Amino acid sequence: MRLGIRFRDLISKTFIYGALIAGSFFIIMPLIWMISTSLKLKSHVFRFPPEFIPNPVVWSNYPEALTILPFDKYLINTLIIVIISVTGEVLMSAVVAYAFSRLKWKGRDILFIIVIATMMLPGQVTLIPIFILYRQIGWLDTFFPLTVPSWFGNAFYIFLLRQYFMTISKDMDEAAVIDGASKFGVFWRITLPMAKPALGAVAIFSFQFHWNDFFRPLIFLFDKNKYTLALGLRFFQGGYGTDWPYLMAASLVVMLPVILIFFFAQRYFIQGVVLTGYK
Amino acid sequence: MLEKKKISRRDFLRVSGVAAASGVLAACGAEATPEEEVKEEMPAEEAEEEQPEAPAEEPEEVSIFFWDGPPLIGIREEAMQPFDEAYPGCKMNFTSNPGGPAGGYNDKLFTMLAAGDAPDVFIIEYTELAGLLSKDQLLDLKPMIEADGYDLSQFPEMMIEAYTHEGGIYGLPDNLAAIAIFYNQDMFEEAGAMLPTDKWDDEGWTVDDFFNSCEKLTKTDASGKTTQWGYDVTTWDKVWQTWVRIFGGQMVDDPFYPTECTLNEKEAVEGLQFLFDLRWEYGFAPKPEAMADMGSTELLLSGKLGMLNNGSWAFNNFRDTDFTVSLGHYPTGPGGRSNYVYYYPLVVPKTTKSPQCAFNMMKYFEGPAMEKIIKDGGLQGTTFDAQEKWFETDPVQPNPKYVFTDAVKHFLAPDPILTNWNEILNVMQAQLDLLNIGEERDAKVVCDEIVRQVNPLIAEGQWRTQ
Amino acid sequence: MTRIVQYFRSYKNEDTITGWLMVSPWIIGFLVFFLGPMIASLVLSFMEWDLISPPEFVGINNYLEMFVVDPLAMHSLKITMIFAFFSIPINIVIGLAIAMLLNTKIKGLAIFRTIYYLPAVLAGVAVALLWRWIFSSEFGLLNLGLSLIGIEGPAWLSDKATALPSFVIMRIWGVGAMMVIYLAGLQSIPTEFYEAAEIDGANWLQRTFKITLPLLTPTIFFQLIVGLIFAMQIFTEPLMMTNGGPANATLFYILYLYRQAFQYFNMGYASALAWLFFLVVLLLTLFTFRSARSWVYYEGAQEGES
Repeated sequence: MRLGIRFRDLISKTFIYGALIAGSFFIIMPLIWMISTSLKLKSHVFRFPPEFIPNPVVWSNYPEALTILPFDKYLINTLIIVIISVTGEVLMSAVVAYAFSRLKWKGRDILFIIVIATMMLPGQVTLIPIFILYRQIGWLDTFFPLTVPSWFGNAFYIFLLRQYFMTISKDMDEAAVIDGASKFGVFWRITLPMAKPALGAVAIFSFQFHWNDFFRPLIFLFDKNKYTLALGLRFFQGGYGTDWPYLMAASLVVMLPVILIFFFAQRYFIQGVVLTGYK
Repeated sequence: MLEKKKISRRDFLRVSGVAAASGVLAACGAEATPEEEVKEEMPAEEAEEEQPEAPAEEPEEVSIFFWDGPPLIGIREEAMQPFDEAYPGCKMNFTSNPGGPAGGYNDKLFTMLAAGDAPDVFIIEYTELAGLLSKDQLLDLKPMIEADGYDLSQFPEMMIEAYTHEGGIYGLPDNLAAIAIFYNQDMFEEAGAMLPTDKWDDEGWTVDDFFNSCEKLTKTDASGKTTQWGYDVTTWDKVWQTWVRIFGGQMVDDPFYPTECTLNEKEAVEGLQFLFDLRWEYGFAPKPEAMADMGSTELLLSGKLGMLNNGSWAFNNFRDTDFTVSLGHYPTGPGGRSNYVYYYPLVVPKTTKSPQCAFNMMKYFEGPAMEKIIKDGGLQGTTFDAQEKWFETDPVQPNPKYVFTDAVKHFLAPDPILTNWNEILNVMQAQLDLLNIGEERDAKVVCDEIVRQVNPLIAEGQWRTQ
Repeated sequence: MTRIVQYFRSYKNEDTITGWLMVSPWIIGFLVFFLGPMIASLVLSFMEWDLISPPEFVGINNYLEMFVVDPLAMHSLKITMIFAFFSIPINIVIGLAIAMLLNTKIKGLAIFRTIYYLPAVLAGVAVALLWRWIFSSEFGLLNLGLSLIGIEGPAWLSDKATALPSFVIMRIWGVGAMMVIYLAGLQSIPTEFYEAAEIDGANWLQRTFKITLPLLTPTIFFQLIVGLIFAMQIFTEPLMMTNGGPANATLFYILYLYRQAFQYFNMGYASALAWLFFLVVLLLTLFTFRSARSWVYYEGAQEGES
């Protein structure tokens, strides 16, 4: 019996590792090419068969790419926008999501459909009216269009958190209410802590979106000192062609913070990890 | 604790009520604005200072809007820096937008135009000019040109005609960039193939010579797989247009006043058939790529392609190769020799508050700034003078660069002036894709279909009266 | 004072008041930033507007045009729906499978998870350009890889038959982005359930189908709705990779809408297209919501909810 279990253990572990590694290969290939491209001379980028190890290795692509434009300034701008936006989105989306999941009130379900419906209208046709709106209130060429809307909740995250809140059992809620807590207090002290994984997911998504968002900064910012990292990356791609090595080098560097955040944040998704060797 | 929460919530509600009300008001304002826009006068987008009323000690602020990207990131701006000193009555506000026309510049520019907020000077793709002219959005520069004695003969005549409408002149060029053949000279010599000529008037490089060179350059290995190609066949519209003209055909009857599409006439069909047969009939060209210019540069650089089509903005890609990259003209055919030249205009909107400063900026751009743009930015430049002095004289390959400047001098094929040329082009491309991917081998079939779909569109896009 | 508190605290009232208050931020944001532009675009859909001249009222012409006159509108809708039809279920199944694999105790879990998440971080233009190169028929990575195992790869983006599937493949590459959400969902399943099941002698298959999947249905439901919306809205990749070609084989709906708005300056028509899109997606979503009652299970649900 013991032998049998260990053997099955081995098979399933092999299967799991095998599948994951094969998949990783597929995922990573483009990235390896990115790294390799970032270290090449421009004229060597598309040599065929593809050279994975550049010859010569042009380390200077990195400092050059990052200084040809003021990426240090862009970094600060991006950090400001991201920190403000992510905080707002996580917090306010949670507040709103709670109302849609744990509270019962008239009109709730219809309003919820409306929330989701806001994700369905293509942004191309609301772009001009929004631009005009921001111009009216003097928000053009400021960070406001990029940060303030986040403080009113975001449909995607509201939906996500609402789903998650609805999976949490209500026993503790009821106990707290009996003890005299208000509904908001239940939210703040009980539901939120229990929803850490979902909040973490929202934070990751929100961070990554705002960090990589280039379209809204493109449209709403004019002063190049206010540009963001994603917008800076766009400069490497223009009407006359793309500067591949610089684009890849700068993209990889800009990518790092998000990867690091994910790498450390995903610890919060450990709690439910199935402890036995096979699923 | 409960009380505190109640109060803060009430305040919250009050504030939200005000915000909602103002939001609704703003929305109403936004809806009304498009209709009132044309009548109101909007200040230049970037104006941080008040526009002076009286003739001022205060310099007038003018904004200029460009797209920016490789190979000249930041260069145009640097080149324009001394403008404020050169023209003390004017202050430049330079906005550089990343991504190029398709990568976000157009989105931003047109959003601004829609909001009534045009910059004082901006660059547009030539295809947008007709649309803006038809809506009477642009400022006629002719009065200022004449008052200034500005010399227009430093630009090609055809370009000036292309920017002219009802006697007025509406633009000055950003970059006059020709396309030509880039080829691997070592590969040609090794294959014993005839080289493309670098003299415009040389009749000795014909379509047949071109064909023979392709044949000699194309090599296959033992298993039948092609290891080296002669030429890159592409659906890049400037290239297939050129081949149409080489064979004596035309896209439309008269580019300045098009009434019908003539792509299905014998000569045009022959030109297209020849071009796509190079790939599907003779195997001289690699398989088609997703987008027109993708891959050919790389193939040439890897020593797998003999000739490709590209423009003067791309020569930076070919600077450091192990073999000689040279430039040549397209071959002559029944229609003579042909080429294409890009001539995106800088324009000034009618609503500008500082037309003279705007014009000054353009003059400065075409004049002193052009040197740096050519030398450091690697572009071909605009005036004949600038091209000869700084572009032609750059010794680094590819050479000889006078191929490009000659092409500009012989520039004769403007895009048809229709407000919907973008749409017409997309229709044509969708059909030509079939030839390109080999699904349809008969160019006549495709051209007939193109003419059928495009003729009604031409009628729609024609806003001029003869 | 106590009576006020009692009134407030009575179940129904507290829920209602708290509910509306907690929802108010979203409502305000909606009113200020969204409602105006939304109404503007609806109004524009009944007009012709070239962005510069005053808009002209044309009644339902735009809507008639898209159904009767303009074959490309319905063509692009068809292309988009075919794409969504394949991409959504494939990505849900694969995403779920990967998340489950990455929820087991294996060495290097953090590294694997990060690797699978990487495509999400790369968003945007660099990715589209990268994949255009990978799909290159003559010298892309994909065909190179296939040739190593003796298969001659198709022309991918240059072949009408394989262009659309290319986008499905590209989306599969990016599946790790949503994996985060599955992982969060998997966290909410109390480990006691698994322990109890193990004691009862359940094997992997039983545990997955009796515990994991049922309790994950709220997450799967989310992925379905969101996946639907995002699949239908595919835009940047076709713009950068094929520009709708070859021969309109990848002319996705939003790409076509964008062309009408910003290249042809038919903002009114584009707005009409946008609202048609909105209605189609809304209907599909409502349908999914309806169906959810029968298969989605919420542990913390209130009576009669979906």
